[in-house]
Amino acid sequence: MAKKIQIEIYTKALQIKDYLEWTADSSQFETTQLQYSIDIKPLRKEIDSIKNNPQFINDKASSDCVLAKVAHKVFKKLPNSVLTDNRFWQWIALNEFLDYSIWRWDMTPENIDQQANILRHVISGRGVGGLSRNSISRLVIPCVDLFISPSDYSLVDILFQNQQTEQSLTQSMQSMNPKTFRAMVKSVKGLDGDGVKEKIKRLNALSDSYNLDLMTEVEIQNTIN
Amino acid sequence: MAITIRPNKFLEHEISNLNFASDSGVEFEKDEFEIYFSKSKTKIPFNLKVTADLPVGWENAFTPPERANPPYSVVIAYISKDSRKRGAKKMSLVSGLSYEADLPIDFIDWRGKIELRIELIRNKGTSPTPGFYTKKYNVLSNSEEFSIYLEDKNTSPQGGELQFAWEDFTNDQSGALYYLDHAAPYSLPVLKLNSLMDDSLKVILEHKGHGERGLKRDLIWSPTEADIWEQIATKAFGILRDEGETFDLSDLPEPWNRVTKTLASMIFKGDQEDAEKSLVEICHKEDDDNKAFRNLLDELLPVAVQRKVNLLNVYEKLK
Repeated sequence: MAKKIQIEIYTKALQIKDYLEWTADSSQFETTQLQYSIDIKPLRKEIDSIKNNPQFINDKASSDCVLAKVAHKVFKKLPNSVLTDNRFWQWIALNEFLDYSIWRWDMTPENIDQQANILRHVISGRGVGGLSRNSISRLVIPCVDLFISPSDYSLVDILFQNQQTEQSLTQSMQSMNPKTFRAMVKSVKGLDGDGVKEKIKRLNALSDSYNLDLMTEVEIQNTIN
Repeated sequence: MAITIRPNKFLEHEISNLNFASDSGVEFEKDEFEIYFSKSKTKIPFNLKVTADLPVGWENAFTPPERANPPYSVVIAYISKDSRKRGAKKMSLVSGLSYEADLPIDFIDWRGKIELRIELIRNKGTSPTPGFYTKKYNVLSNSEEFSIYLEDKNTSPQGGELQFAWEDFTNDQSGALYYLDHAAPYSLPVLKLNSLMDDSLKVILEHKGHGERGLKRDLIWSPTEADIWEQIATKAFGILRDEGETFDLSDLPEPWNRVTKTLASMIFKGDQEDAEKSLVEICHKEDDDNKAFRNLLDELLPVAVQRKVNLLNVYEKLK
């Protein structure tokens, strides 16, 4: 049976310091209901399955790619103004998938106490950085540009080849152009973390004197390589 | 530093006379380099109509053999971190040096802030020529940057929100005038002042007016404030350095995102975006002896905080 929920956003974006108060009484943080609804059941089911799968216990990052494809199908119909709103991702990560964030990032009370920034996986900030950190948006947003067809998520597979690749590419300002993002992903296939960083540095250096946004995907790829 | 050193001919900010208009009844207000659509009662898709003029002699950005028929495009270069969009829209020649283009905007697709500028782009490469950018897609000139706000501008305070409290200093702090209390991990530290100080000094520190007492207050406060800025900056840069994957200061947790932005503009002159970029680069730089980061802490920061608190001006009042 489907689990359709009406989309809400926090009227005012939460801050990390709000987390304890939110856990004590989440109703004190005002929300605004939007006109959109989604069926989150497929993602809920996949998360439950992954959390119980011994394959992922010691390698949680390897579950990202599996979940990304399911999450994309769940959220893809939402308009860009919602998909880029950190107040929406805060709301969904806290209210529907907090258990997943706790599992994925070891968000134990001790870890939160020692490293408050771990909470940015649920109480995420604005911009590409925030989208790349929120537990759910980081799975969905890259697929928006990298999705080729329902049977072809090959670029998503490359992006999640290791965590360094995913973080470096999704947090780059250049990734906001879909052509550039796809070219970046293609050019880092099989590279380790250092190799990916080198490519990003090269691209950032080029952006000082070139308008990369005018280039075709192939031209960008040739320029990076 | 925030200044971009360009080895070749570049007509910086020489594209001018930018004008903006909108259709479909969507209204806006303009304030120098900022345009606000947030107050418009009509929120339907519209075209942002932009016109701009190339500078006289723009052809000189091309090599001499090309100037009779330069290979170029004029574009609107836009970026919206809030909408996760960036791109370039080609403009058409209207007459003389004037160009125009429409940028279609739909509120369901865009949100927050859009930054845009006009750029003159080389659209065909030529053989390398000293003093000229010769590669295809090189930017040869630009305009000032404009900010388009589709929603209310984020009016979060940009620093200046330090709280203070009087406290009876105990053993660890005895003999000190003040210290910064970092007990609240996510917030700015609280400035604690020693309540055991002489009452006449308290009166001076809390004096609101000018005159001799005001001068004495400023002589005490200004170097203190500079020191406080330096302490806060050291903590903020440490947070940024630890966050090796943060390329946008907005992504840092509150209030450090705002603090680092304020510090960036204090330390690096010029465009805010360039200043932030410079700060991120230095804090993330992995050179062998941390030379760039040490230079930031030891040389750039101490001078910047003195400028911030107008230390020289305060001392000059003694004359």
